[in-house]
Amino acid sequence: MATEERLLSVRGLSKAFQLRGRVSRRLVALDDVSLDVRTHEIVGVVGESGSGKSTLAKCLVRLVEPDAGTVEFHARDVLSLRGRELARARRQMQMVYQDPYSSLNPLMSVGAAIAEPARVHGLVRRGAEGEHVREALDVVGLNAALAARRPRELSGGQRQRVAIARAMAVRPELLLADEAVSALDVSIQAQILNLFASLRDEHGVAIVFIAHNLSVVAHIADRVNVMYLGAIVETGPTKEVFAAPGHPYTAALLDAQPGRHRRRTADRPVLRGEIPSPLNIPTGCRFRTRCPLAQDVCAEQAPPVVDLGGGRTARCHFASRHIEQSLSSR
Amino acid sequence: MTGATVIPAPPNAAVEQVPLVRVNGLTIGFPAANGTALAVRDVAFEALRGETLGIVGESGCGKSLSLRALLGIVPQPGEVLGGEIAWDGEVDLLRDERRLRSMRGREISMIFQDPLESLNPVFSIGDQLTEVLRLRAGLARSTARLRAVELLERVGIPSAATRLRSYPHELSGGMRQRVMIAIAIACGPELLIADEPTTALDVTIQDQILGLLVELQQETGLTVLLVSHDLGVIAQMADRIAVMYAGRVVETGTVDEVLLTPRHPYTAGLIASAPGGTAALAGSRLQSIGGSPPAISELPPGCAFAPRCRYATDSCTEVPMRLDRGPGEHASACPVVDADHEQGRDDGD
Amino acid sequence: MSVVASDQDQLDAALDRRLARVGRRSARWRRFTLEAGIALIALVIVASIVGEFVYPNPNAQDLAQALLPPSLAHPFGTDNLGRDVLARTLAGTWIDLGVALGATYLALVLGVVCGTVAGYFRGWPERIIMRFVEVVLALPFMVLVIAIVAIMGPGITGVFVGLTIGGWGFYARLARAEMLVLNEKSFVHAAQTLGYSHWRVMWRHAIPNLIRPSLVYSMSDIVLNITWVASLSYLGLGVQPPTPEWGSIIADGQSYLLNAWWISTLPGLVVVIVGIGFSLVGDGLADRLRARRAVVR
Repeated sequence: MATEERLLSVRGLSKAFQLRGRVSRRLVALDDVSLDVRTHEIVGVVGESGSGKSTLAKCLVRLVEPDAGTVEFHARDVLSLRGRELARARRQMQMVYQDPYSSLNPLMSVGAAIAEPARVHGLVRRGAEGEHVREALDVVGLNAALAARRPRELSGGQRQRVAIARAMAVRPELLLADEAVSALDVSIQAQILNLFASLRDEHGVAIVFIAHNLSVVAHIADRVNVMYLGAIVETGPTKEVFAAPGHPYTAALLDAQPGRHRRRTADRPVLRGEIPSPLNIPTGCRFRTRCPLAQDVCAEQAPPVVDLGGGRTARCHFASRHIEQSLSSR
Repeated sequence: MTGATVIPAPPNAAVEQVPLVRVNGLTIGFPAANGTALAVRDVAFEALRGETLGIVGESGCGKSLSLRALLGIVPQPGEVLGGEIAWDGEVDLLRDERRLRSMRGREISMIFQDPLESLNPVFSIGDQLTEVLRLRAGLARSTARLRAVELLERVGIPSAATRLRSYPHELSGGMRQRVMIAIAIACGPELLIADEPTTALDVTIQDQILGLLVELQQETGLTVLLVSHDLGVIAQMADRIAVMYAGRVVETGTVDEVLLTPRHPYTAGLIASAPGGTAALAGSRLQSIGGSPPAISELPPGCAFAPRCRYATDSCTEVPMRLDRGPGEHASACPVVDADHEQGRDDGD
Repeated sequence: MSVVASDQDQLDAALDRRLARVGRRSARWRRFTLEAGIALIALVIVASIVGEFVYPNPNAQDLAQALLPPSLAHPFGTDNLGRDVLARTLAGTWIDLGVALGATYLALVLGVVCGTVAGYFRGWPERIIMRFVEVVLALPFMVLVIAIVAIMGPGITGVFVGLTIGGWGFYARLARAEMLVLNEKSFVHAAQTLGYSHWRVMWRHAIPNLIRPSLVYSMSDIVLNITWVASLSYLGLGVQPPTPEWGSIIADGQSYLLNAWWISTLPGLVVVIVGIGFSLVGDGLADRLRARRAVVR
């Protein structure tokens, strides 16, 4: 796709929350996060709890104001926008949430929920809402007759489709999907994943797809960002990253995927320990407390961003495309 | 588990092993507006000693409910309407409530999905662990304390002795689930029922917990009934699988039989729906199953899967679902695809 | 739902921040609430203990000293029979607090046990228990209590029984509602699967988790019951003269309200102080417990 251009560009995004209490503590949610989204591209963000992936989504639409860094959308700094400009940028970046049960107003009919944002943004004339709602429902593969229903009369999958229809109704250029399929059953999850792929293919929308489930991200994303404790530790084209991870955390995450090993044996090396608290991030490399490759240097120096070629980078002192071999030889 | 893996006995095997639990015809109903809604219908499965039976299905398919019936804790106002649960070929747990009560926590124990909610928030984990040891294993207070530390160490909790004083909210999700496992194995049970034990956990922690379960199984010959919606978890943990849909078992067999050569269209659809499951490449579409599972109060007549099934014929809406062979072999409840399932699996779009 | 989901979210975030700020400010005040309440109650209790020694006989009459206004010798003045009002008020503390506390907590225990049993077993135990609760709650409290006192005959016992029977229903309803929630929690299932007896599951595992709202409510219930004991005695249904009791002291002073205001007013002030004390403790306790719950997430 030669027409691909940079749509969203994030540089050095950082956010820490001050927790009040007897002792004031600092929770580091994001630390120097950079990522790019091109038009028509699906960019995955994968990480476990505490990785900061949800804070990232909130910073992008300015629900949370970052402490440092820039977010450029169409080469305009989103963080400095005010008033109508901000409203316009918001329209072009729409969120889809995890829980379709709570993101829809239970008292509002499906049609009204979809028509409202379009009307507020002046995208549709009064009286023409019906047609607009029909189109939006058609985009997500729902029957137009559902417009009269209330959310509680719909199944979980239908509700998530309505939430997506509402987001698509204002003709955004970017969808931010925050765990958008995590609450769904496998068979429904597959339908919604296919829907996201078709929105990109047929309507040209770019998608930032945030999820904890690696296989979901691996399936849908063109490029992937792996987050750990508030930082992106590895990024690159999805297929290549998961075929030959460059960061030991990516390798461990991949190895921990259920079903990857057909027979579970007790002695297979598993990632030791738990994710440290974001209140107390390890010095040097944040992954070193669990890393099988950790050396003294990892505690002393923060690892550099190593360019692995082909648009791939990893934040590790020992980053290489053969990290799995180093891991298994240990 | 490698050592304890049960290979399906060849037809000429001399002695057939008596399953530790054999469930037959289990039916559980809930009162509904139009009479009784059957959340579990005619469910049958069995587990041999030392093996892991995986029960897989989507939410509301009745998988958790069936296992709760084993322990006699079907939530009100649900009611077991029929069937039998044979323990070790002898006792029918559905009819011998006294025996069942004495077995709970001793011979059969259970772990749950949400490790925060499955520990009592107002007591320390030491209290909860010693409680079961004193009450159910009959240990004295001092020995119970020592044994509690041993158990916490066994399940991989660092500085176990000091951890006894911790409250559930002070522990991470993974640690809580380890405590729950320690409580469950405190009396050396023969059967462990694990209801989505890792669903609420991060994937690297899930890996540790599953590893712990396998270790315990290898050490003690524990039989595990594992409920999960995640085919990946089931694939790596289970020896045999029962797939449930809309309150019924639609397919059973060994893990290889069911996952590699599924006979029921629902099983095949489930496998094809899972991203990464059948090595679907990025960019390709998943073969999703259309529609959504029916509510148990309004099941269609005949096969409950028929409205979503690509292979459905007119007869599907008339003939009720029924497993074609007894459990223990690869059995499916679909008479249509069964005859030519090879073809059925391959012509996917 | 507002314009776009994201706007709604921003609104929510702003609201959260504001609530957090208000929360922090009132947290300081709340800490103070609990302690202030305890201090007020303690003040009255300590005074009544001291009173035991200073006024060994609160009913001592001295007609020569009748209807004296407050002075150093008689801080609350004297009544028409020349009895020291402060002495009688302090002596009445035990009866009023005792009956009110006793009736409240007997009602709480009865109600919580019944409600827990109803919520745990459901089915016919629930139907029977909750039918009784409905009857108790359907009758106006005052009518019920007065009817019971009328049946039992005036006196402390009648008041005690009346307040208990009138009061347990609410606790039962509260406990049942909480038990229904706990029925869904897996730690209750876990306790069942470990083979603990029903009694143990309820007593050890459920009740410690469902009793907090009842405890908080009981604080305001005590206040109400203190006024009920006083009111019933005032009406002549409760404590009989000459036993000193707040309500009867106030009732006695009523006829002298115009020329000896202190007989009714100053004991009334003590009732108000105790009432405020328990209310503050209730508020403070509610916030403490809520805060603890929040930590538990």
